[in-house]
Amino acid sequence: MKKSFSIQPKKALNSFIKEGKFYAKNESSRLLNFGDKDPMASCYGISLEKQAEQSLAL
Amino acid sequence: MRTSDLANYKRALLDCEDALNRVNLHEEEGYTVRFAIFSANLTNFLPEIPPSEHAELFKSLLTNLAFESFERNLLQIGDFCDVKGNIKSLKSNKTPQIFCTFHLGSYRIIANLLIRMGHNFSTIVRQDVYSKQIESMMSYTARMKEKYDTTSEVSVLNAEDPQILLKLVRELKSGRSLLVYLDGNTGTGDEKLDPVDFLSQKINARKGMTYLSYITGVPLVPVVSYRKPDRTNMLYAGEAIKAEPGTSREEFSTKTLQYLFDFFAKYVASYPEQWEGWNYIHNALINREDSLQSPPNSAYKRIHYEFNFSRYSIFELQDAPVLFDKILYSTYEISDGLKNYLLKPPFVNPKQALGKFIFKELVRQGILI
Repeated sequence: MKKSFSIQPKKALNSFIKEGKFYAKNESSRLLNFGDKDPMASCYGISLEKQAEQSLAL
Repeated sequence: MRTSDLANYKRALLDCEDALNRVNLHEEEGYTVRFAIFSANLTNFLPEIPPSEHAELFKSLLTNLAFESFERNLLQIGDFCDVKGNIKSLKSNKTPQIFCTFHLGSYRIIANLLIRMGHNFSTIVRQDVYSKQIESMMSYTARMKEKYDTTSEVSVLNAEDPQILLKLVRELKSGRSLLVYLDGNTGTGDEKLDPVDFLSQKINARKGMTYLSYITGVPLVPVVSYRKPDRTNMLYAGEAIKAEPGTSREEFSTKTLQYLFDFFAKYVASYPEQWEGWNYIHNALINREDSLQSPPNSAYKRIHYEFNFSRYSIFELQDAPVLFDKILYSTYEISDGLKNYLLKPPFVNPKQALGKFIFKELVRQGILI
């Protein structure tokens, strides 16, 4: 079979890259909204302490 | 802070990581393009990192972004963070300061701490996220006030507002501080840019904040956050920077901007998997096209050719293979035949095998060298 060789600019994709359509931000939040286990659930167990700013380790 | 809180926090991060590990990232929409951009940026800015490590680093970056998304709603995040350096500036909530930071690590911890420390400050965001951010920031501040004894007042300003510089001067003169992300791709269209060295490249950086500092006399305080190997956070505040009497605005602005980018570059180089900026830093690169020269006539008459792996990568999209230029960040759709040819050197008489037109195009674009 004869091989075909072609190359052409992918203009739409280039525009998307330039416009920042492929920023990875928030991708992870979307990915984590799945399955039967809420990955953040264990943090709800963090106790609520009424700490004033003075107690910050500064 | 209770020991059990820290344990719960670390468990939550582990759960985040486990959840991401169960996802086949390669099947996620846009993954290949995102990774190609990330890898190109690492190649250009941190060439000392071998390409074989890029995939693992990208996964770590996504994990860190997941942690950050979780932590932005965790009011107690300041409890899971060590603070070092210029603590005096962080504690001084009565005098205005320009806190400059990067999108590194858990990069909203600084806002959390400023609220807890009672600072009145404004932060600046892109127009497209302005309405979303203003709502979430107000809600966040309200919840912080409910939880902690703080009088902090936070506001969000639109970076694309034509009056933004004037508004920022007013903010500072009224005693409010600013929190700005220097690596964000924001600012009014006519804002002045200065070239700065950043890692192995030169980029355009906005000098609006250094101007503001000069005009108002309000010091700039670099602050960086990064995650330590045990997953807890570190926030480091650098020394405050202020214009010395007799220094010109231009001189102060240029020197200080470079100083700030040098400050942050050390942390980006040390924790590359924690910097969100890899997703967009290529937009700030200076005149990449000018650095490329057309190949000489002799380039078309060689006996041996090879695929230019250092400049190009090939990835698959659903419809066709794509050739990605890591210098110009541009893409070409190529046929399966060409993809297979390029990935299987050595090339014997490529002019004949590919045809004169394609051969010339590949040499002209520096794909065959």
